This record gives sequence, C-alpha cells and structure tokens, in this order.
Amino acid sequence: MTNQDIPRTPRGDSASTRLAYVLSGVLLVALGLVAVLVLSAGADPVTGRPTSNATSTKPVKLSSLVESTTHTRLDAAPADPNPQQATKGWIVRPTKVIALRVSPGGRAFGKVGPKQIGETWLPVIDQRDQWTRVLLPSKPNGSTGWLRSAHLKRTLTPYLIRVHLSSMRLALFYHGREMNSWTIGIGKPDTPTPIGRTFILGSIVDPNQTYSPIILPLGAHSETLDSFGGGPGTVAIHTWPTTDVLGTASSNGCIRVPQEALNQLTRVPLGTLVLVDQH
Amino acid sequence: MRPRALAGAGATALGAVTAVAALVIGTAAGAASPSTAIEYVPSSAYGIAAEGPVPIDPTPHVESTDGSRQENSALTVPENPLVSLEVAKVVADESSASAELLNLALAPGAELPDQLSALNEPLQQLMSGLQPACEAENPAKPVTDALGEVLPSEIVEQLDPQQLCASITTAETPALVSIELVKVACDEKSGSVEIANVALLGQQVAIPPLENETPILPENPLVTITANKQTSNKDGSFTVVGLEIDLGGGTEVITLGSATCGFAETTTLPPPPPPPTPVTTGLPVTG
Repeated sequence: MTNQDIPRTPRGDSASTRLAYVLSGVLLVALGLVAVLVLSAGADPVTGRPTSNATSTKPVKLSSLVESTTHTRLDAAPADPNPQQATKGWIVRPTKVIALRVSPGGRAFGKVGPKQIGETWLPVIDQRDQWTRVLLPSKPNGSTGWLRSAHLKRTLTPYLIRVHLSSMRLALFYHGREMNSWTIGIGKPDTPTPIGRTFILGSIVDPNQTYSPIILPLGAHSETLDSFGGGPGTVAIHTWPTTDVLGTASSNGCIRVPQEALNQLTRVPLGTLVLVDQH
Repeated sequence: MRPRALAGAGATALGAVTAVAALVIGTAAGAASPSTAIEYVPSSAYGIAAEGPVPIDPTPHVESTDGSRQENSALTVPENPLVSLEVAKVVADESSASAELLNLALAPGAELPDQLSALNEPLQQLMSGLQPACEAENPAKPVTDALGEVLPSEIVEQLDPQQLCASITTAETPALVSIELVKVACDEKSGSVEIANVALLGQQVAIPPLENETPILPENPLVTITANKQTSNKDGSFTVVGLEIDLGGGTEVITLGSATCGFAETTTLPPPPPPPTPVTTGLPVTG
C-alpha cells in the first residue's frame, strides 16, 4: 500500500491556520493560569464561591466526562512538564473508570478506564500524596492528567524506548541499559513524527492492514494530520513490506522498524515510555 | 597536637532515597521473575569552599554516584586573598568519604581582603595596638592590655606576649588563623574529625574536645570557628564538616573539610508485566 492509496485529511499548514493554533494555545494557557489562580485563592473553579479547602476533591458525574482514548481530544488536559524526561518505569492501570483531574484533587476534565484497545496501561510521570500523574492517549500530544492512586493497579516496566529522529535510530533499553538499536523510517518533513514523551498504547493485529503483522499504536498523534485512513492520526510502531524505507523520512508519522525490532518491541509491556527526540 | 575522633549522628532518613544511579542484577530481558536493583545515594567530599564576598567553589571535590572509589587532590586553592593551603586530598566511595587538609592559613599576613574591609576594623585595631605595645621596655602588660581591647580574656590568657611580639615583628606577619591539619571522615552511620595545631596570629591555642559543633575559639569580634558539624541529609546521606569559619556573623563562611556518606540500597523490583497479547481490531494508524 502506498501513501497515496490512503485517504487523509490534511489539517492544513497555512499561516492563518498556524496563527489560529498559536492563539488558541495562548488562550488555553491563560485559562489554565486563571484556573490555578482561582484554585490557589481558595475558590470553587465552577461557582467561584470560596471553599473551605481548595484542594478538596469534588465528586464528579463520570457520564458527563469524555474518556481519554486515542480517538478523543481533551484540550483541558495539562501539558507534559518534562517531555524529554525518562521515568523510573512505573505504569498504572485504572481498576475502574475514574476521573482525570488537572491537579491533585483539582477540577475533573475527563475520565479513563481499565480497557480501551486492550488493557489500559499509562506511564507515571509524577506522584503527590494520594495522586498519580500519567501521560494520556488522547489529543493533544503531551496530555497528562492526575488520577486518584487508590483506584490504580501499579507495576514497573523495565523497558524504555528512545527514538532519535535525526539519526533515524530506535533504541530499546532494559533497566537503563541499551539492549539493541535499529535504523528506522520516520515521518516525512510535512508529516513528521511528533517529538516528546509518549508510550505504547496497544498491540494490535489489524485485519485491514497488510504492511505489519503486529502494530503498536502509541499515545501520540500526527501534528499535521487530524485524521488518517479513517483513524484519528494515531502514530504507531510497525514494520513495512520493504526495507528501503529504513533510514528515510518517508512515513506519514509512524515509526517503521525492521522485523527483528518488532519481534523484540512486541514483548515490551503496554505503558512503556517512548521518548522521541530530535537527535 | 590534640586529635579527636568522635562518633557522629547516624544517617536516619533511609526512606528518602534519591536514586542517582541504579544497577540491576538478576533476570534476563523479558523474564518474568523479580529483579534486584541497587540504588545509590552518592557519597562526596571536598577540601575547602567559601560563600560570601570571596566565594570559593568546593576544591578539590569528588563524588561517587555508582559505589566506585573516587579520589581527588589539590596542592592549592583557586586564587583568592582569603585562604591558602598546601595539600588537600579527598576520597569518596559507596558509603564512606574523607577529606584531609594540610597547612591552612586564613587571612595570610593578618590582612583581610578588600571585599571584607567592613570586618577589618577590629583586626586593624588589634594590630595597631600591638605594635607600640611590643616596642615597650617591658612589653608583657601593654601587649596583654592591647589584646584585651579586642579579644576576650580566654584567648588572651593563651597567648604569650613575648612570642606574639616576636612573630609580628618578623618580616612576614602570621596569618590571622593557621591550622596544620584538618581531617574529616564518615561512614554510613558516623563521622569523625581531627584537628591539629590551631594558631591565632601565630600563637597556638588549645583545641577543646570536639563535641558536635564545638566552638574552637571563645566568642570574639574577629572570627568564629566551629568544629565537627554533623548533619543528616534529606536523601538519607550524612555529612560531617571539619571546620566552619564565620567572618562577620555570616558575611563570609568558609568550610574546611567536608565528607558526605551515602549508601547503597538493594530493592526487589516487581516482576515485569508479561508481553501484551495482540488484539485483533481495526485502528488505522499513520503508516
């Protein structure tokens, strides 16, 4: 299958569109600051009424919240504060559908459950008292949220995946030691592989695709393609029928790896961190 | 020479481990049984450091972040008008550290640098009072009186007027304070400090027993010297400082000999989750 065979919806890269995104980003940051100021002033972020405890957790109606999946967009999600920072490898799985919050005990902006593609496993990036901060699979890239630790199953992945775009290499680490690395194919200049901290969201066999026996969708999305082939523009790791794509920037954002790499990467637990950098 | 070795406060906060380096021993990649990880809280040591108008970065400095033995030494300190030394040697390994300094001189020539001119007044008062007193026919009483104008009687009693006059009339005025040896060491649980031959204006003074945070000199307007300062740090490590010299009530603080002892902690990691079972589903990805 060639790139041209797949219908896609370009998000457009005109100056006016980019300006609109920048402005909406600025607005979101401003709204976030206002929310923080309101919270720190001890007021209810919804009613504005003073509260006795600004960090007390308000009960939420889960049915009114959008679930964080690869198909959804949660613009109120706080951005990843350290998009290139490795973690100790802790990953968590919600034991039931629970609220995602902007801060420990703060406003709910979404929800996440124990299953989506398969089991939901999310990397832990911070922890405070009874709250755990995780990376999310929903748009925009670098989304995070706080979850109540009591509703999380927790374990440790010994793996870390580093993707270097300039050198087009993917390295697999086990307990901090590089076990293997491979030359890979990455996104074209107009559909680049997004930089930042994401994770292995799932492991799928897609009966509609023939280019890879197993596909590993990540928690990241193309920054330039709002949708792709009927999907939400999810970036993934997978093989390709020909090896000539390795060492080239020729994909629509996905990371194309040799079969030997996929054989090892499919053993890596869901929730394992994937750090994509410009090096 | 009155060296003292002291047992110090233990390193107590073992729960707050800061992992700087981790070594994993045990299972091969992909195996499902638990692994063991060694996490290191680093050990470190330095010879001299100063904060204030005359700052000095820790010199020489050494740190062991992976349990290996690290050594460093220096024959001088970065150029400064405040402190000189002849040899400093520092060592750090998994859970012990030490620093040894030889022949230190503080304010060589009994002159404080321009940056500390505000503190120079009592020193100049002392030196200008001593010079005519030493020239008197019978200098003992005038010298004692001149010293007593600035220094407390506990220090004055320890100074021999004749020797003091002999030393300040030589071509090279002695340092405000000189110390022949400062040696600090620690392990995971305790620290020790040795100090030998402390002299004020060339005159040796008695070193009191080195309990924790012992003042070496009675209270005086020139200099406060505190020996054997021991601290348990938040990350569970333990620091012992040989001497802390304070000029002007915190204006300039000089640390001589600092050793911080970390430790290694072995933890059993939970078994890694099994490889995920692929789910058959249609999710178009970016290809």
